[in-house]
Amino acid sequence: MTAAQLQALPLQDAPPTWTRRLRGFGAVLPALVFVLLLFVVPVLALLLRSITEPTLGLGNYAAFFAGTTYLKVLGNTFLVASLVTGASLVIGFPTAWFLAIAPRRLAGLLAGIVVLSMWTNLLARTYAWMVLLQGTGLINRALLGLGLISAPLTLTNNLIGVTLGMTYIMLPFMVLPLTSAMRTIDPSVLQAASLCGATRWQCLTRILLPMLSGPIASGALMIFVMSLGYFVTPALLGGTANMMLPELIAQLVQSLLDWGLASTAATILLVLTLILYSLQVRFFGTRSTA
Amino acid sequence: MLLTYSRLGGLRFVLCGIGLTVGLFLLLPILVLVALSFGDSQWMQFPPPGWTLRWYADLFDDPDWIFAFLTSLRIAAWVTVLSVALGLVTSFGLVRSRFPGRETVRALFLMPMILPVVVLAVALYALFLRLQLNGTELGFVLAHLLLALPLSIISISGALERFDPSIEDAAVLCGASPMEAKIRVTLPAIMPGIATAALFSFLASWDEVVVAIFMASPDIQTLPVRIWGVLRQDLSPVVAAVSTLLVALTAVLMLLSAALKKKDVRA
Amino acid sequence: MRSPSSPPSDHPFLAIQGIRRSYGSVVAVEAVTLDVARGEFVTFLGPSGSGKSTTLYVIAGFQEPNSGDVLIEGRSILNTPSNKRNIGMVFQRYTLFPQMTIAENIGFPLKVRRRSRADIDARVKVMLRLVQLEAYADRKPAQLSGGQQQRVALARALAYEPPLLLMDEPLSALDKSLRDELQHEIKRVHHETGVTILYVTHDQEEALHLSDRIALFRQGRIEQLGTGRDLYDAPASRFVAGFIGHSNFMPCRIDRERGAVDGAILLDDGTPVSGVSLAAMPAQCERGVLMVRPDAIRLHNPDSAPAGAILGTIDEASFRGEAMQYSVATAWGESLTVRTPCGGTGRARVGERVALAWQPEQAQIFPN
Repeated sequence: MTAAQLQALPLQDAPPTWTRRLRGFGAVLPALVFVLLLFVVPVLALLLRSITEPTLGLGNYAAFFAGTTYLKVLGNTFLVASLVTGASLVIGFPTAWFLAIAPRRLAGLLAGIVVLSMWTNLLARTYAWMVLLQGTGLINRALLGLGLISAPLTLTNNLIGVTLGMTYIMLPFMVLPLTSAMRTIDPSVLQAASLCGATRWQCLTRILLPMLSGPIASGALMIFVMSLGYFVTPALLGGTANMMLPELIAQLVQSLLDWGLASTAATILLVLTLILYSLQVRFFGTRSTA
Repeated sequence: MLLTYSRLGGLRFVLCGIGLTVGLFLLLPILVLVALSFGDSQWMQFPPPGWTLRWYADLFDDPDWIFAFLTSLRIAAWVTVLSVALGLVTSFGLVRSRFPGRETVRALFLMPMILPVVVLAVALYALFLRLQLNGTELGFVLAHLLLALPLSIISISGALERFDPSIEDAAVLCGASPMEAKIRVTLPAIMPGIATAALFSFLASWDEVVVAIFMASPDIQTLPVRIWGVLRQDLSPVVAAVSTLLVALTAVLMLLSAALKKKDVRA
Repeated sequence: MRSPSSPPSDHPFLAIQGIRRSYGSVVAVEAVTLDVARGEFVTFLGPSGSGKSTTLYVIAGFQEPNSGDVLIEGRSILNTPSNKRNIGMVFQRYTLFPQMTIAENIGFPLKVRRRSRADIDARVKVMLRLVQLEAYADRKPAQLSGGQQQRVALARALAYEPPLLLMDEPLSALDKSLRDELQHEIKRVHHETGVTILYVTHDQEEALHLSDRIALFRQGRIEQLGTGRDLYDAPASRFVAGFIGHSNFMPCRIDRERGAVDGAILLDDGTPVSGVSLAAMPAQCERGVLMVRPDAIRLHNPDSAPAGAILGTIDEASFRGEAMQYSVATAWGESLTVRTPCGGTGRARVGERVALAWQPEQAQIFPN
């Protein structure tokens, strides 16, 4: 640091004395101890169990990747996460677009609905979908009434149910950041583009979408990561045929008491999450603070 | 053009249609919940054939629901208090001082928020088995505190970062002791951030299911655990009544938070 | 054993003695020594990084010096915590307490001093009147403009009648017209209250307008201390001459062979310069710079130029309201700036050949 920089710094930013550093560290110490004891230690201990139980070695990983059972769960997890991400993107983009430019009162109302749905208790929302999607539920009755189908569709305990229920939950995480990103774009950029002779389609694909590629990709990645680790909604709306990793982990621990394999699945989930998350931080900078 | 609503032409109606459909899609489950809770169909017929308050009566007559509600409330209250207190001290440490490794420590504090909750739940379950904390209120409080703390730290350190420390220095030169300056000047100024932290901490505990499912025992259940248990068996309309109450609570907290945000921005 | 306390008049009101402050290998303040009389308005002027603010923070108690002492009326204040020093301070940024009203802000220092309610109310009224903001007593700081906020900050800093007021670039966040307005305000308040003020700024006009004396800082030291007039008319160094007002610097050579006072200085094009005192030059120094203010130079017709005039060509002429400013290209390649009052003599045109001359006592020579 040069003397000039020092001078420009506000008072509190002046290089600290040792006592001040210690005091600062002392302030974070209680929380640090708490997080170390209740987070770092138990998570590391869990990860360790994947190579120590029942015997030392990589046996659990071999078992996980050997048969089709667990690989299918892993594949399912990716499938559901991808479907949810795709659906959120396709629905979320026009919604955010509308929110960003709609008249204030209309946009405010819709934004209020988005936030309300996001804040409503997760179980309550999932329960509502269970009711809506059941054989005698509103959706089936509506479709029957319209004559579109002749017999009730099975909408729960399968891929449709999980994807629908999870998209409902993840949608706000695409809509809200994308809306604020769109609001920061100066409309005159597009006016300039069309004065340059760009058609409407070119404006969309050459100007608007590239400008939003960062927020879109960042939102999609965030939803994908969150979907990988989701437990409640898949457990209630999905069927046994579409089991995902989190539910597998829960079952291995609660029903089968197979801690070794559970820890293996947890490690795999954790590593996937951390890799994707570090990609997010690396390419899109800010930590997602949902 | 594309970002000017009045100049969109026909596309305007397409976008408007999509927006309203999505709004309906998001609102539908919530409306259904409310309607069902007042509907008199045991089998969740929709629209309900008639109206009743029976499910609410059932809810308030059932000591298990009341007990679960009170347990959740007690745990969430403890978590809120501890999370705000710990978050406040920690934020001062993170924002106001420069010790080596500060950024690493900050990242570590946010980690419990990023990790899949199920991994955390299993890890804590294993630890608490050893410490015999499963099925105790202390266990619930500790586990939920872990999930609430990052939210608290984010809100409070955000508010603290927006607060110019020179203002605190000015208070000291005015004759206030450093502690007095913090209490009388800095704390009131970052109060919206603290309130947001309290709100998020409360909700983090109040709505938490996954960790709770692992730690619950027949003796001690939080409200979400009880809902979960009922849902796994059948779709009782009593759950609709509970859910409606939860939606009402959410709406109230949401308005509160919007008010806080407004205040925080203004300050 | 206690030394017998001496009457305050024996000591300067504020004495800064050999303050040094470093951060590791970076020295912010090298050695600053300065006495300030009661009621004086002293400005610390200098470029950023020159140590002026750090010196102020040491006096305020936010920084501890590595060595040196600060005394008020003969007693060291270094061991007194900031909140017990009874010093007022106005900061660069608006530091009003956001959740308190204007009146509560001004009353805060009195409240922490446990004054009575009635006392506080009365004093707040007086202070509000002092800064002419009576109508704003119940507003919140966010509802005031930047200039008004700094006036409240001033009122708050003076509410407890501190004998010493520190101001750390209080106007730098304001725009030009507000700055001028607040300068008047500060001057008036200084006059009305008689408080001693230490004022930090990097704006020389502000310093010249406000101060009784200016301490010009450079690299952690006071380069020159004096009234604005002293610093302008008799700069102690090339740095001071460059910092205060506009200056022309002409590289020159000193011909020691000639020995005499007259004709010993030669500009780079060989023009001899006469009448300038060499007292400021060290004996061995062969090269130096000659400094002349733009308004000290007169333009002449080359045919009727006085002896020793420099020849040049006007390459730029601009109208500056009360004066014309010319840039004149010289034989050694550098341009000189000349300002002549408008009206009276006719104007020179771009491309015209001119001769430049000045009174010998208006030029100064510094070591290069």
